[in-house]
Amino acid sequence: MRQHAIRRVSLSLSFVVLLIVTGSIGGSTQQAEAAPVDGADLPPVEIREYEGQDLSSINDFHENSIKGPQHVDVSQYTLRITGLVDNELSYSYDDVVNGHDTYRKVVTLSCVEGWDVTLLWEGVLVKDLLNEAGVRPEASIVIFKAVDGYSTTLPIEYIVGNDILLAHRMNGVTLPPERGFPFQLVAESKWGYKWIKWVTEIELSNNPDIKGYWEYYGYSQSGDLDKPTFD
Amino acid sequence: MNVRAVSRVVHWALLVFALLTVVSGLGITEFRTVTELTFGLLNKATANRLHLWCWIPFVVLLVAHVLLTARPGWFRRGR
Repeated sequence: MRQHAIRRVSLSLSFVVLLIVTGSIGGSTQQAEAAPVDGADLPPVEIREYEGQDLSSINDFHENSIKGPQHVDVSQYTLRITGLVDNELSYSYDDVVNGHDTYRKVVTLSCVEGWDVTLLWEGVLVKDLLNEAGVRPEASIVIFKAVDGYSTTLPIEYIVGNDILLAHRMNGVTLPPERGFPFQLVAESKWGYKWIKWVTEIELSNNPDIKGYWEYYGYSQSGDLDKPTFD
Repeated sequence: MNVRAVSRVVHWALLVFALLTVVSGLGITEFRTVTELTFGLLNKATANRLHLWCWIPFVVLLVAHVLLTARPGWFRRGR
């Protein structure tokens, strides 16, 4: 009886040892497979600190766009500047990114849902694009339109006076599709619904009553963080 | 209106406001689904307004509910 028990225990122990050995061999194999073949194949890594300031992660966003993430084909993409301008312009992605000075700043996006993220944004100044198109004196409102039908408006003084960015990178990484590739507006000191993603058109207008998508449903036209959320 | 009737009103009102708070919260965070399910009646902006408005009556009713349930004797004479 006792011998039988000892045999059962030793059999069980052997089985456990076998499992451990097999597991460790499997682990070694996985490590070998994960070893980089070429550094260029590695995915880009976002930075999480900039000039001593901690940054949120790209993954800290909550997906809350009106029609879900949009996948823009960059080869077909154009950014149009229309409305009250001297010359209506149409840029390709490369025209915008490589044809203009790039600026960077750390800005916090605050959402009406109650969350916020602080990231390093890199992009071109919207006013540089507007200057190239030649804004007519009567223009007072900038209407941003996106590929999914979303839109928002901001006063031209705000865009010019605050050096507002049209970002193509966040935390050192090109905007992923779900974060607004190719361009997201960095509407600092405004609620998140002013930070339009997947921007395709910038229209100049002199009609201050034009409302963006969420503004139409009652969210504040100004979108100022220090003012009530609703008009 | 006696205490029992008041309690009943408070309990049911709390249930209503608890549901409103939850549904309006979902109407903000899961607005695409909720808007579709409510045929556009509860869009994100409406849900946000409702949610901001709901919490005060919700807290008041919750406190009343707790007091009426935990210490019913406080509100009854002769006990």
